[in-house]
Amino acid sequence: MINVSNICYTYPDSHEAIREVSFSVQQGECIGIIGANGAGKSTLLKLLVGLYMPQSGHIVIDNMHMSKQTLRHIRRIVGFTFQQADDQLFMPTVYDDVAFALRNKGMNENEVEQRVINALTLVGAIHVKDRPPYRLSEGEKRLVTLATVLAMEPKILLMDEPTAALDPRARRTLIHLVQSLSHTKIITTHDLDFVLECCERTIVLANGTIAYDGPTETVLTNEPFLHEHHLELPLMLQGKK
Amino acid sequence: MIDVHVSNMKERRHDVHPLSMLIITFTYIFVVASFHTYAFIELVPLSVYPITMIVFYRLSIRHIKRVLLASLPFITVIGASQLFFIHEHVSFFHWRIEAGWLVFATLLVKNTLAVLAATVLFLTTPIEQLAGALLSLRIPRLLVIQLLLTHRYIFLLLEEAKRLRQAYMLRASQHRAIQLSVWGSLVGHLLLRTFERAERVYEAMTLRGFSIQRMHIKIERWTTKERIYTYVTVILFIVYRLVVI
Repeated sequence: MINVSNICYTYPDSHEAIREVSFSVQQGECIGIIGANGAGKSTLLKLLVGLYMPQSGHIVIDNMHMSKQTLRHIRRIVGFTFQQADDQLFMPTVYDDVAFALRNKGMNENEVEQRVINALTLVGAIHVKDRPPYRLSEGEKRLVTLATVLAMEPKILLMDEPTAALDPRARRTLIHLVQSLSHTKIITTHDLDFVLECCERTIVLANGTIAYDGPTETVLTNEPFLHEHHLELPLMLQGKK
Repeated sequence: MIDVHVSNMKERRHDVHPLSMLIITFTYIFVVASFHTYAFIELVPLSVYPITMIVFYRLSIRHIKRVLLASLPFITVIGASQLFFIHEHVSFFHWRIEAGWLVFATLLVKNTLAVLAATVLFLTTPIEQLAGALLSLRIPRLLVIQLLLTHRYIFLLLEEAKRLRQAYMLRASQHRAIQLSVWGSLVGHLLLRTFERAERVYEAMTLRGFSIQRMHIKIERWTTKERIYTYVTVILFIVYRLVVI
């Protein structure tokens, strides 16, 4: 589904964010990307959706080599939720925000309405359909951002720190939702318990390179390795020590 | 400011078509501006339109007052300059007064009426509906989308400015206003932060298929009833202007 080989990305201020990163993702996999602040997690996600273009290496998504020509097709099958929900919600009402991409595709209003209602129902946010997004709680905003991408019916979901700033209940709702979605998912987060519950495979990034790529349980129980990479045991495992 | 705008948007009744509002507002401002510089008395009856709209839509007086106050310094400087250039005397009712003062007062009234009308338009009609109205007037799509994005940017700028101000005031509770010495740094930060935020919003838009050619702008149907309302109001303004010279 996704094949990344030897990509490098350096920011205009010469900060080398991603160095020789390679991995592949099979259809339906749920992968957690973890690492210290500044390890390159968000940059990697932005590379996967073409917001940044790698200076070297290749990205192939659904058999399409990422380039300026294929970007539009790739973005139709990849849904991306931002770290700050406010950046993603910019229309006057939740309904208009979820409908934004569909209207851009030129769909007729009946079809748009159907898809918007389906997406909002799926994430459990249909009750806020007519409210302005900036008035919602952080948990509701997060659900709506997910609805905005689910309405596009993507094959792949990329989520940048989805549980940041959520209260325990909103976080639990999101965990259940993520577990119920059959999409291929890549999630960057500092919430290691979330990774343990949702992702069967984990990639640990350190200084722009992959320090670990394998089963989640193996890495999240390896305390010395986690400490070495500015991480710690998930809270649910700390009590079992 | 944003909150007031939002509450106004919530309370509004969508009775007037955006195209009607747009045409009426522009005609009104044109008529107000076209009166001669001594037409203080003639302008007063024109205040009926914005006052009626404010009452009808139950718009926030506090918000309107703020907008009016913000516009006052500019018009005051322009009006006050007339006092230095015009030295003749004119009769006003039974008094002989300096013409400069009458010009000053007329400019103030013109400014107040024009700002009121524009504020009423902005508070009663969402920008997306105004964009649809502009498109139906055959205004180039590129310009309309620029207007939409500029509107979006202004709100981002205001939000960031509010956060910066709050952060400053929390750490400088002894100051009643932001000190002159930190203005440079604050404005610099404000611009950089809003540029970054605007870029992230634009990224979110492009990821959901945004393009200038395909951006969806809804154009609402202009019914016969709305056309008649618009034409009658516009004709009333023009007739008043032509009769009262």
